[in-house]
Parts: sequence; structure tokens; C-alpha cells
Amino acid sequence: MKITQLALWLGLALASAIGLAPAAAETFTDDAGRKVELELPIKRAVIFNRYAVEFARAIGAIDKVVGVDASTMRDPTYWPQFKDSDIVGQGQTQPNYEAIVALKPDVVIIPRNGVYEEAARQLEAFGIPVLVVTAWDTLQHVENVTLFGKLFDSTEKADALNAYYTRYMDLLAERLKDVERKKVYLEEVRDLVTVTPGSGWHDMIEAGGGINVFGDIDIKKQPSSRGNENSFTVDPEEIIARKPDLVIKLQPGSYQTIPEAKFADSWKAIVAREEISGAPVGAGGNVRLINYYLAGGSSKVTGALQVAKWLYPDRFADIDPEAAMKEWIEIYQGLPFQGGMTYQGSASN
Amino acid sequence: MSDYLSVDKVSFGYGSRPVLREVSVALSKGHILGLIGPNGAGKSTLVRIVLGLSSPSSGRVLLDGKDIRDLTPKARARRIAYVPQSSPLSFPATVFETCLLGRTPHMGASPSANDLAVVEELLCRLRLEDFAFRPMSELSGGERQRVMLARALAQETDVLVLDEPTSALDIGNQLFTLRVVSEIARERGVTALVAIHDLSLAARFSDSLLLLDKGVVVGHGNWQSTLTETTVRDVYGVNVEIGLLRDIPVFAPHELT
Amino acid sequence: MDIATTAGLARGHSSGIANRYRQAGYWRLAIILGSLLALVVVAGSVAIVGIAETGLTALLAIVVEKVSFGYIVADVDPQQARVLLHLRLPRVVMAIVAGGSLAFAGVLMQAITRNPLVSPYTIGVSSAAAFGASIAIMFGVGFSAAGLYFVPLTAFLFALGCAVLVFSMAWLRGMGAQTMVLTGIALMYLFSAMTAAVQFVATQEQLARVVHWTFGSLNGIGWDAVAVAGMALLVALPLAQSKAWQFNALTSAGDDVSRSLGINVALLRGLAVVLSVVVSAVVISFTGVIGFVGLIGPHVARLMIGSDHRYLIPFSAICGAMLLLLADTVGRMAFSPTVIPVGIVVAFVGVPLFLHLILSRRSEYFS
Ligand SMILES: Nc1ncnc2c1ncn2[C@@H]1O[C@H](COP(=O)(O)OP(=O)(O)OP(=O)(O)O)[C@@H](O)[C@H]1O
Ligand SMILES: [Mg+2]
Repeated sequence: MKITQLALWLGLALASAIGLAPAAAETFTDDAGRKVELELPIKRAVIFNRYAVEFARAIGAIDKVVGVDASTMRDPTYWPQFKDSDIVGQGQTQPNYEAIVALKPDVVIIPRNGVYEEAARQLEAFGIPVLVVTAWDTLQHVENVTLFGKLFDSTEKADALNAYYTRYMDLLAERLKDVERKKVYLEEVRDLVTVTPGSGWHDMIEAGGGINVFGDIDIKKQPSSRGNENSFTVDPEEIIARKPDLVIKLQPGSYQTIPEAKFADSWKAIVAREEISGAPVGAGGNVRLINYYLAGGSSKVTGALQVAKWLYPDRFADIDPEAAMKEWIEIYQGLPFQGGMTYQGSASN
Repeated sequence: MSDYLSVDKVSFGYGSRPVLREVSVALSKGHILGLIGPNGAGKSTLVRIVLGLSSPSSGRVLLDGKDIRDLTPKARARRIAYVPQSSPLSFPATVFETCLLGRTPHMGASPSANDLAVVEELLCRLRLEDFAFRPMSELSGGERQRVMLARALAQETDVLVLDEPTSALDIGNQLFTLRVVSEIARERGVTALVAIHDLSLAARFSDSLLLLDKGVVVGHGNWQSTLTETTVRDVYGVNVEIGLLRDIPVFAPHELT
Repeated sequence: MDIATTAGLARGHSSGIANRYRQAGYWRLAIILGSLLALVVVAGSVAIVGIAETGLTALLAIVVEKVSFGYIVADVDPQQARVLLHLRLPRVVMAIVAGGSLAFAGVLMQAITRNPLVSPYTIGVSSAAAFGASIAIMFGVGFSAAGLYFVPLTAFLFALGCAVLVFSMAWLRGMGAQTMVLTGIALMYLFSAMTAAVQFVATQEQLARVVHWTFGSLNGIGWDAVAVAGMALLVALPLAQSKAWQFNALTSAGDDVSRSLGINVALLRGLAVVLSVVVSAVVISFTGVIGFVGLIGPHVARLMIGSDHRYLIPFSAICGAMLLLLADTVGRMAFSPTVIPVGIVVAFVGVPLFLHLILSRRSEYFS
């Protein structure tokens, strides 16, 4: 009798100790300036935006990610960790709150171009906090990775990722210090569509030591019919007039190799165009194709490396962008690197 | 006999163009006035003014000594009913529903049993009972016109203002319909103003005629004095032969002037 | 003076048509009550389907708890209760309120213009609201708690402005209904284009909000939106219903005859404009642009119940509610866990119907 009572009291005390003592409640100020209190470490997270999920994988926390959006999952082979039932909505503007709630996450991480206010309101009753982290914003790369390290109790791996990233960023800055910058025309998958300041691709060109030939465009002063910073329509004559030293054409693709034949077809198509072949840049064979994959998150640094090497082969003779890509995909993403991220056809025509 | 409905020196114009000039006419209770005149003479305009749908630029319309514009819309609707020259057709209500609209000034939010009974009797009287539940859009022009008349009669007013109520009817229905109107007028002491183009019917069914030309009254009185071969020729621009067949006035136009 | 008589031809003979009319009335009332019941049943059934496991008993227990103000406590798994109470029910109820409001607004607008092509969407009100919202998002005063309703409010004002523009042009210039529809469609394009233009200067985060607005969605609707929109409809519906008979006169007899029947047509029109615009703008300001419900609701209702507004007004609202509820359920479940905005689902039904209306009755509506 006494013993059972005692056991009961002990049990209750233990339970309350576990339940009440917060593991480590910490208040964060997120990317939208909101104060969010979280109990660390995070054991179950729902993450919107592919780059953020890549961060989680890069710091070894992918098993703590219980739900992602469908846009992230567009290439299922890139995410062997997830199945269809882990999807919690199309993207950051249409979360499926029921799906989120069903996963019982400790936190929902959403970029600042998502409906975080709505999400916070909807999930409040379920005690699920919403944290705004904008992983696609490369300016906040280091800060974001550090935050992820803290959230998932994986600071060492986060530091390693930051070291990888800053090593190459510093190297680029160092070697490009006094270089006479060359001009780059970057073309989207669609012909005659380029990027202007504000776009991540523009940043990649600049980080790689190039000058975006359309970098002087202030998108706010342009007629809206020409598009936005990520897809700005140009006239073929403008391309010739701006005299690029290098043309980079984006290719749709994921982390996997783009088949040689596909690359070759795209190559033929672009060098056949008058504004390319008729200009010195085309005649000199300075046209390159690059996989879209290299634009996002941490992999953007590898894209910048490649741009730098194309522009200034002498200064980067000892640098192998492929190796950096391999490191990112194999070490940080845990997937086999297949190569073939870029393409350069024979200059002869 | 005192005047029940009187139009007192009414003038009206669209913009600067005068359409009616000092039109005056007085009707005693139970009187049927035929309003005749060529196209554009101002018949419909006068009708709308009598109804209070347009305001005259000068002059007034008196109903039982009161200016109709001083009556509330509802009070006016209880005393004057209207059949327009043409009606829009958009959402097809049924014949019964359309006719029931005539009860609007007498009812609250919904029609009463009495309202339904009134409509039922009228539809039967106008031989429209077989159409009662057909949508208006599926009726012929003449059938529709008869429903519009039934609607106005269902209003149970003591003044009827009809703008060419028989223009789309066949000769049988013209006769039938005007007979029903004049019967009801007689039964209930209804005063009626009927704009009508058919001179023979006008002469036959009216107590007196008012002949308008370019907004001016050019004749007023019984049909024999109003519609002479001279007046018809001057106003309508056509030579007619006027005669009587079985006591029915007949106007035979034979040559344009 | 003709003295022959028609008496005896049809006098005093009772044909039973008044009875038939009365019975049709009962029948229509029965349809309305039946459909209302069906709406409740459908709402209940779609409220218990979803990703999380929930049952009818749980739903009923929660509804009973709430209706009894917590007096009868529901014995339900708290997680299930929260899913129902905070995610499913506000969404289901908002589908009903939004669908009902849009169809209600549609039927009033159609009545005063006598044109079945008119609806909040086709006269540009919806696009105006979306434009207003995007302006507020772009140039608005932050997103502080005070600014929580800033975006819906601006949307509402633009919707109102657009409606006033279209309707006043229609009256002042004496335009026909078809001119009004064409003006509305032109404005719809103008506002859509301006919204698109605004998107080009938007930052990533503003862009997401603006896009969110351009197709209506019930995802993430909360009880506050339900309360505001529900109140608007609850006030407007009885007001319009009290004028139902006058709408009958206006639609089937026209302006002049309506006036001769003692109806203040200008007042009636003004009332209808205010009610329909307020009700639809309130909904759109919370959900974003949902087109075609204001067109389909009245159309289906008219086919089933006739054009007597005493029945048509409530039944249109019920049809619109049912339509949006089903459409949102399809959007919610068809590609689950991906949620398709209800505005997109509805367009799949609405566009063909709109074309059908134009093609089949062209002569009457566009003459
Ligand atoms: N809304 C209007 N604006 C300008 N003028 C008008 C308007 N309505 C009628 N009119 C003009 O006023 C004059 C009288 O028109 P009203 O309709 O009264 O003629 P009516 O005698 O009824 O002709 P009908 O026999 O053809 O019906 C006509 O010259 C007509 O052109
Ligand atoms: Mg006329």
C-alpha cells in the first residue's frame, strides 16, 4: 500500500520533471523580425523551401525533417529520405495545415516569401511555432547555416559547412581582387531572357568575377512588360551591343548529369543564333552551358567558382570547380556525384 | 359631371425639342378616352406624364383634384395602372407570376389568397388560363401583350393608362380584349386613357377621342367630329374613305397625299 | 361605343390555377429546406474527411459543445478537436459563407441589370479587390497588428470604387446592361493588368502575397474572417429578402412598370448595389479572387426554382454555398497533400458555363 503510493509519487515527480523542465527554451528573432520561442534541440521539423532542406541535410539533420513542400520534392531522386506522405503542401504559399498538424512537428520553417503569418495563426492552436528562415537569400547564408546548427544541435557540422562555403567565397574574393573584370551574358532556359541585379544568378556572376552585361538595368525603371529581375526580356541587338566576353546558358536539370546529347542539342541551338555566332563571343567559342542546379543555396558558390575559372583560367588553374561540386553533393548531400554540370561544345562550326 | 382625371396645359420637351405643347383634356369618372395621332405625335409621352413617370415642363395632371405628383408612389400605384407600349424580356417569369405583379401596391411581402384569386379570375376572363405556368419568354408577342394587360387589370385601379394595348393582337383578340377592358371599365367605373393606332377600334371603344399631332391637340370630341376625312388627311397624310358597316366605323385608306 | 359583351365566356369559372401556384410555392419552399438540409449534411461529411482521422461523433460533440457554450463538454481527443475546430470547420463554414455571399451578390446584380452575365467577377469588382490588395501589400504600412486588416480593407475600398464606377456609368450614361458587362470586363482586364504590373516591382515576399490574392483560396481561413463575412451576409440577406417582390417586378416588368407599381426603383437599385458589393467585397477581401460562383449560383438556382426572387435569393445563396463547398473539398482532397486554390477549381466549372450563357442566349443578353 505504502509502497505503491510512494511509487506513484515518485513516478509523478519524474514525469513532471521531464515534462516541465524545458530542454532548452530559447527565443529567436527570425527573418521577419518575429520573436519565436523554441525548445531545443528540434526533433521534428517541417521545412518549406529546398535550400533550407539542403541545409538540414548538409548538417546531418535530415532525419529530423518530417515534412517538406512539393516544390522541394520535385526531383524525388534527390530526396531519397522522403516519400509522398511527407509532403505538406505545394509550396510556401499553400501549406496544407492538416498535413503539418498530422506530423506533429516541433517547428515549421518557412521563407519570408511564404505565408508565415497565416501559418502562425493556423498552427497556434496546435502549439506549433513558425520560424521564418529564408535559405534562398545567399547574403544570409552563413547566418542561416549557423542557426540551423543551433536548432538541430549540430553546430560542428554547421561550422564545417560554413567553412566550406566561406573558404571558396574568400578564395574568389582573394584571387579576383585586382582583376580586370570580363563581361558575361547569362541567358535563362528561355531564349532572350536574362537576369538583372536582385537575381541570385546575377550575384553568382559577380561572385565569379564577371560583369553582368545587363547589370546596369534598374528593374524598377523598366516597363513591366519586360519582366522582373529573374526573367528580363532583351533584344538580340542589345546582346551584340553589350559585347559580352562570355555567354552562359542555363539548362534545366537537377543534381544528376544532363545527358551529353541534350547538352549538345542546346549547344547547337544557341550557337546557331545570329546574335551569338555573329558576335565575337560566339565566333570565339566563348559559350558555356550550366546546370540550373548550381544556382541554389550553398551550391551557388560552386557555380561562382566555375564562372571564375571560365573567365580567368590562369588565376584558377589549380582550382577544380567539379571537385567543389562533388564535395557539396557527396559530402554534404550524401548523394553520388555524377559530374556533367557544365558543357562546352567544340568551337568549330 | 366633375372631372376625375384632367391634364392641364401640359408641355414637355426632350432637351430643347418640344414634344407636347399645352395639352389639356379632362375625363369624367368611367370615361374611356382614345388617344390617337401619328407616330411621334407624343402619345406615349403624354401617357408617361399622366402616370407620373415623367414630369411635365409646365402644366400638371390632376387626379380627383389632386396633382398626381403629390401622391406617394404607392398611393398612385393603387389608383393608376399602366400597360407600356413594349416590355423588356429578361428573366422569364411565368404568366401567373407576371400577372401577380399587378397586386404589388396592395400587398405586403407576399401575395394573399385574395391576390391569387383576383389573378386567377382575370387570367380566366382574358382566356389566358392555359398559359398560366408558361414562361413569358415562350409566349407569342400578342399573348405577352394580353398578359401585360391582365397584369394592369389585376392592379384594380380606377384609372387605366394603356399604351397601344392591342398593337400585336389579331383581329379576334383585338376585339375580345378591348371588350373585356370596356366591360371592366363599366363594371368598376374605371376611367381609361388608351393610346391606339387602329382608328376603327378607337372610334368603336372610346367615349371620346383626343387627336394629337406634333404634340398639339388638333381634335377632341366624339369620333365623328374628330376623325373626318379632312382631319385624317391633314394629320396622317393619307386620303381615307370613312364609312359605316353594320354601324361599325370603317376607315379605308386609299391614297397617300 | 361598343356595347357587346364577353360576359359568360370565362366569368367566374375557377380553373384551379391559383391552387397550382400555391402548390408550386410549397414545392419551392420544400426545395429550399431540402437543399439547406443537404448543405448541412454535405458540410458535415466534408468536414470529417481530410488527412487527420476524424469522425462524425467527434464533429457532433464539438458542435454541441460550442452551441451550448461549453455547457455540454465534448469528450473528444483534443488533437482531433483542434483539427476540426481550427482547421476544418472555419474552412467549411467559410466556403458556405463565401459561396453564399458571391451567389447572393450575383443574383442581386443580375436582378437590377436584368442580365445573367453580371456578377461580382464579370463587372470587375473581384479584380479591383485584388488590385487594391496588391497596392496595400506593396505600399502598405508594414504588417503590424494594427495593419492586420489593412489589406482586406484596401481591397474592399477598391471593390466598392469599381462597382460605383461601373454602376454609375451605367445610370448616368443610360447604358444598357450589355454595355455594363463589357465595361466590367474591360475593367477586369485593366485591374488584372495593373496587378500584374505591380508584381514586377514586388520583392519576393510581396510577390508571394500578391499572387496569393489573385486566385482565391480558403486555405488558412480563420474564424475572424468567417465572423466578418458571415455577419455581412446575415445582415444583407434579410434586407434583400424583404425586397424580393420588388426585384420580381424589376426583372420581369422593367423600370417603368415597376415605378407604376409604386416601387422606388432608384432606391431599390441603390440598395442592391450596396448590399451586393459589400457582401462580395468582404468575402473577396479575405479569400482573394473567386470568380464565377456569382454567375453559376444564380443560374443553377433559376433553372431549378424559377425566377421568383422570394425563393431565388435564398436558393441562389444555397447553390453558391454548395458549389464552393464541393469545389473546395475537391481542391483540398484531389491532389492531397497539395492544396489547389478553390478559385482555380471553380473556374473549371465557371468558364464553360459562362461561354454557354453567352452562346445560347446571345440574342437576349447581348442585344
Ligand atoms: N427618350 C427620348 N429622347 C428624345 N426624344 C424622344 C424620346 N422619346 C421620344 N422622343 C421623341 O418624342 C416624340 C414623341 O414620342 P412619343 O413616344 O410620345 O410618340 P408616340 O405618339 O407615342 O409615337 P408612336 O405612335 O410611334 O408610339 C417623338 O418625336 C420622339 O422621337
Ligand atoms: Mg408611343
